[in-house]
Amino acid sequence: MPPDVLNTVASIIGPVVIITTVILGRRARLRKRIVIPDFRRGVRFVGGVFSGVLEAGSYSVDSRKELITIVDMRPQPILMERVGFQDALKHQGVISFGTELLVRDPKLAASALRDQVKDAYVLARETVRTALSKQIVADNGDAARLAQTLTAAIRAELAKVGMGISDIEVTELWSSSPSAQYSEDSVPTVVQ
Amino acid sequence: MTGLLVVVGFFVLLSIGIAQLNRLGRLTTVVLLPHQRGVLFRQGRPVRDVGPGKYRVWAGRELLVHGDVRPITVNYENQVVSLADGFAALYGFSASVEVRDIRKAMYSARDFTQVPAAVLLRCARRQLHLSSSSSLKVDKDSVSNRITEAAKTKLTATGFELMSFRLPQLAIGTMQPVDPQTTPRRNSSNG
Repeated sequence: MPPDVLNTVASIIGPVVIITTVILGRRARLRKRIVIPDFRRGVRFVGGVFSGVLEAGSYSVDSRKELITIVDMRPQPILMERVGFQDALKHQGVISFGTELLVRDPKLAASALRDQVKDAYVLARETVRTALSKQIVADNGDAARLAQTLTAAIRAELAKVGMGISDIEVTELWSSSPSAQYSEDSVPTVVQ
Repeated sequence: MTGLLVVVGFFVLLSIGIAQLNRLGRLTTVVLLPHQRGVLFRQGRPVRDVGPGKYRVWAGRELLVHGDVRPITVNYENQVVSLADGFAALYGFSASVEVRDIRKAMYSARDFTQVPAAVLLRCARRQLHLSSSSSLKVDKDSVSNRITEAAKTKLTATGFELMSFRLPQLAIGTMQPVDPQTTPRRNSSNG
């Protein structure tokens, strides 16, 4: 190839390469990389539209167009202690239990709940009250059956917002008999 | 002419390098203090557990998740529980828990420092609720041992070790109504 042709080609390629370098450099600065560990998920929105759930890995994100909402998939232990209720026979009772909140559907959980733990806790507590009002709670022997019933009821309710729970462990169950002194105005106290 | 081609080649390589730079990430330094432990994640997967020291981490590809492993003290007082025979107990306990396996602890909960309290509260309430007032009056140590054993099993499974557990407050009473004139009516939404 004659030298003057080479010179012409080089004089064209040179500026093109410089411009490309500048453009790529600026794009690289606008994009950022995020690491999602295996106990989290990323809910990706592109232009405000849901575009997928990111599994564990390293991702390049264009902050001008994309938004990644990180959802923690680890369990959150919750305790509901001394929740008062009235069963189907209008007996007053107190129940305590422990369980773990879990995220089942990151997309739904990220879009349906502002605070996954607090909001799901309130939903679960209200579900417990509703479920117990339809049950007949006789004595402590009911704990296992009640745990299953409550687990199923809470799971069904939380599934609507992408959450779930592990199996409930009932740690306390007290129900007044019809003749007991426990009334709506009474609270459990200890007399030494 | 050759020199010109070298310059062009240099710029081509430079542009490719810049394009790849973002993929590589930035090299950052993370320092873990003597009371901290961590887990290094590469491409989102746990690679190894790390102790105190200085670590070079590629910010775009790697993540060093660390936590405090100093003992967690759990202390609760004036907790009320109904007993198996219909009586009630007022109790309080204190415990000390240490992180033994940072990776297990990290995966156990969103905030692993909440796990010991949750486990101990669950175990204490359950074991006391299964006890009768007479058994508690006769042998308080027995229920304390049962709580310790139950909590130890659960805590070990989540990467913790129960260092100590004490049940200094335990009083037996009855469930009875209080004077409505002195107690405000409970709001049904608060329970």
